[in-house]
Amino acid sequence: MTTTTYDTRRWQADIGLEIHCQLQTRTRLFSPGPLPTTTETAPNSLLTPFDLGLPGTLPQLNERAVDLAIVAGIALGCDIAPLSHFDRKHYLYPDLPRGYQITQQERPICQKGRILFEHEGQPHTLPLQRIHLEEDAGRSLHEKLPGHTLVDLNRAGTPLIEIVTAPELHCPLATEAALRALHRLMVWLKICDGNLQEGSMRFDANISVRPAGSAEPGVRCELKNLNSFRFVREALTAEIDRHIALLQKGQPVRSQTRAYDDRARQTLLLRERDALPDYRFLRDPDLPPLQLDAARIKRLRERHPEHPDALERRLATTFNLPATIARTLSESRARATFFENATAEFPPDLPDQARHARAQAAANLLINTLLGLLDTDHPDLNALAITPAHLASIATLLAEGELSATVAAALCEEVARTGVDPLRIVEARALRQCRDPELLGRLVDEVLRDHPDQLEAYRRGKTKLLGFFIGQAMRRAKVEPDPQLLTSIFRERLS
Amino acid sequence: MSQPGTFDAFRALPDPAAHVFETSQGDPLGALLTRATPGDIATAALSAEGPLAGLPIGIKDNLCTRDLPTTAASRILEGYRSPFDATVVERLRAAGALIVAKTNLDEFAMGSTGQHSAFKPTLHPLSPTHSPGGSSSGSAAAVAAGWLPAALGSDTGGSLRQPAATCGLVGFKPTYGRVSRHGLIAFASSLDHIGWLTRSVADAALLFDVLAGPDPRDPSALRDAPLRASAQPTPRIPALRLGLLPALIEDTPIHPAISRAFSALIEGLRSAGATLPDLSPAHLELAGPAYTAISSAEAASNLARYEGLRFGQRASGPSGAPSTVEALATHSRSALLGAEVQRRLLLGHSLLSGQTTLAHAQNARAHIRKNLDEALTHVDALLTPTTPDTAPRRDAPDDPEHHRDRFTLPANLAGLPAISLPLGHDADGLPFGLQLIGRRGHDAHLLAIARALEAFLTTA
Repeated sequence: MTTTTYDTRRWQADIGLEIHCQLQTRTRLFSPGPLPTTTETAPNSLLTPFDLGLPGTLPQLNERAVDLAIVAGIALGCDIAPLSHFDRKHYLYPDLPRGYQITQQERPICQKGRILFEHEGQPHTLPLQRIHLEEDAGRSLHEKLPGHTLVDLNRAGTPLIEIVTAPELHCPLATEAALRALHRLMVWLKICDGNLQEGSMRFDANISVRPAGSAEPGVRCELKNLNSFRFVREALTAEIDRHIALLQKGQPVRSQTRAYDDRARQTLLLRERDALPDYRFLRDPDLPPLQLDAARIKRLRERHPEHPDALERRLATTFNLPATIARTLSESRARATFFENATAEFPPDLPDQARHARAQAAANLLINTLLGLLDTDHPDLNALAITPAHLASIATLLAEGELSATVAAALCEEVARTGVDPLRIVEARALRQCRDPELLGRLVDEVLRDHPDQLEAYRRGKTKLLGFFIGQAMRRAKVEPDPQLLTSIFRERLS
Repeated sequence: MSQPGTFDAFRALPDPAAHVFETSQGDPLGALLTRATPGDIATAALSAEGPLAGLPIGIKDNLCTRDLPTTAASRILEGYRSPFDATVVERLRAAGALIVAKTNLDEFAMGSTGQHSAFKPTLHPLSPTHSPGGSSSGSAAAVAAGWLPAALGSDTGGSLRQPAATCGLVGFKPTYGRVSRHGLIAFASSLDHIGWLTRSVADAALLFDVLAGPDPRDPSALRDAPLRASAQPTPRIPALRLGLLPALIEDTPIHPAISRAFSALIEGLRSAGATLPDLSPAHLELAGPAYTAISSAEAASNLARYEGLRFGQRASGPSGAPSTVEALATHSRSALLGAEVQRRLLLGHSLLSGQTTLAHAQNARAHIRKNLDEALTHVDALLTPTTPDTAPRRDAPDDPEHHRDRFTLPANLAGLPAISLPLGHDADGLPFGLQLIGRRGHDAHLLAIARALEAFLTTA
């Protein structure tokens, strides 16, 4: 599948990304001020004097944020700098309390590294240039009070890492795949909550287009604040088309900063970039250089949890799961842990085939039933009343054919609500399928006896009537029959 | 003008706080910007306990105080009230001191005369035609006038030691990071030091013991606990090794009275058995240009927050409310910042844009720091006059080349502890001082050496 509308034999796009990830800390990057936990937090209600830029205040570095940046660097295979430092980036903006933002310009905390991702079934590697720490600005609200700009500094000082990739992506779909892989990793490692709508992760893309085979890079435009994977894909597609249209008309592409209008499905000019702003960087004289000793990096490396890709591979091979299922399970740590805890309930001496069948049943129930129950009130699997042991019992009954898939799903849902032991429910309501060959044989004989015309038709070759017979038997049965067993008995009698 | 000179003499007064209000009535020197009310002071005095119990102390108005406005002598902060006390103010209060007044200064501590306050100039207690020196002008004038036993100041290039010298006081600036800068309105963060003016070295040591020490609110604060200065034994003169910097002194035109007194001191110390080798750490001649570049660049950055948007004062444009944030900031800064501050900010902005000069300056600074540290491995301290001249006339032209700062700048660039002691008077009775620069982190040791020299000068 491809979304490119242009001829890739004639044109090449070069795409580089800047990704801002909000770090999951309780306090700000340079102050002990708490961060808002909901969007309803009253504006400017959580600020320390430093967050307001009051005279006489000094920054205090949040070591937890530094740890998270290091973990991100480790996960992305970066070089962690034993010595980095902070710089002030000056610009005048109402929501920038000190007239400068504290960032890392000259010496970032991580360099190099890569994002590993899959695109069109192939593994890809996107090299990184750097990861640096910086503080977020506040928010300017322009609509609340006509003619006025209101400033909410609650977000100011939120710790961010900015991940800067090399411009080595060449198509919007691959770009989207790389960002999805990065997003999954950041959420998995609990570095960032990954909430795109609320801006916990924000994407800027630099893009240029050149004739295929040309060594001369094209003129670069920057697309700002793309806050969904879809917008990234669509905006890049629209922007590539815009560049090509200009180039084909022989018109110059101008270096610009642009935004994406998703209704019009095109990018819009924000500002020309010919005159780069003068940020007048200054090494922050209040903050000593950030020195990381080897022991700290080692400690974080050892604590570094299993990479989701590795987990996905491990789940797929251990339990012989289809790739899509293994991937869905490994999308969140809570999910994978729940699944693994359920499989740990299976008897240890179980033969592989039976273990795989039970694990697949558990995976299906987890993905198809339990995940469907999660919503904003219960975002977390662990908030449901069902335990991994419950899931293991239901999966066992399902895999052994004791329960039908429909009954197992309904049971799963009920246990998730009530927390009642599923085996008690099964016994109390006799939910097990009938698997008695003698009983089912009698049922089959009854059905065939009562439908002589259809039997005659079947014998003449209308084999589709098998479904009719099964349906009749199911309707007539007092306890739901095992459909597989029922089918094989019919086949036997009819042959 | 014979006033009590030590904390003990001040403590002996029947009501030390009332003494301040009585003697400073009408503030003829322009030394005080705001005063606490006698009622508040009386209330605070009731519960004051600790080594400084009941002592009235003045605070340079670039240090934040909760109960009194903090303006840095700038219109842009007129009426500003800080929601917190600077760490040093907190520690003074905890030690029982009474914060009686905020003292005048050159706006944002930029200037060395006390004439650049947005509100009023400061006069020298001994001669109204002279400046007490700056920028800690109000603190120096109030202590020299005998109103207060001590006052806090700040020292970015000599702003505390120079007025100490020209007012006949002790002015001490500890090692960079030894005293927390939390609550000091930043001028040039990497050069700013908090220090204090007293009548004696013993008083300075007592304040050091109260004020020095780690503070988690200042990331540049040293983490180790300092030695107690008041507990250090006073070294004997024959045990002292004090380095001289002849190259630095020969290059500078020095007031003859200062030259004579300084030479006489060296003679006296030599005959008393002290060792005074000539040292020549390289690149000290770059201190002036390096200071100008670094302090202006950092000032431009630190003062970026004063744009009339969030706190302090806002100026409207020529035609009412400015329409853009840029216009609002420009109007506020043009209308509310003084000429000296504007001059330094313009210079600072252009240096930040260019970067090359700034890089050279940082490089020169690194050399100066290294060379001074090296020189100090051979001696206990370096000895220079504090200023090349006595108090400047109030109508004297400015000193943009930093001639007056020549002897004080190196200690700021290197972050070394330094102290100015009274050395003598010129024919007009205007005081001058000598400066000791100590080893990094050896503040208590430097104060002990200063005590020995103070005693030597009084008995000689």
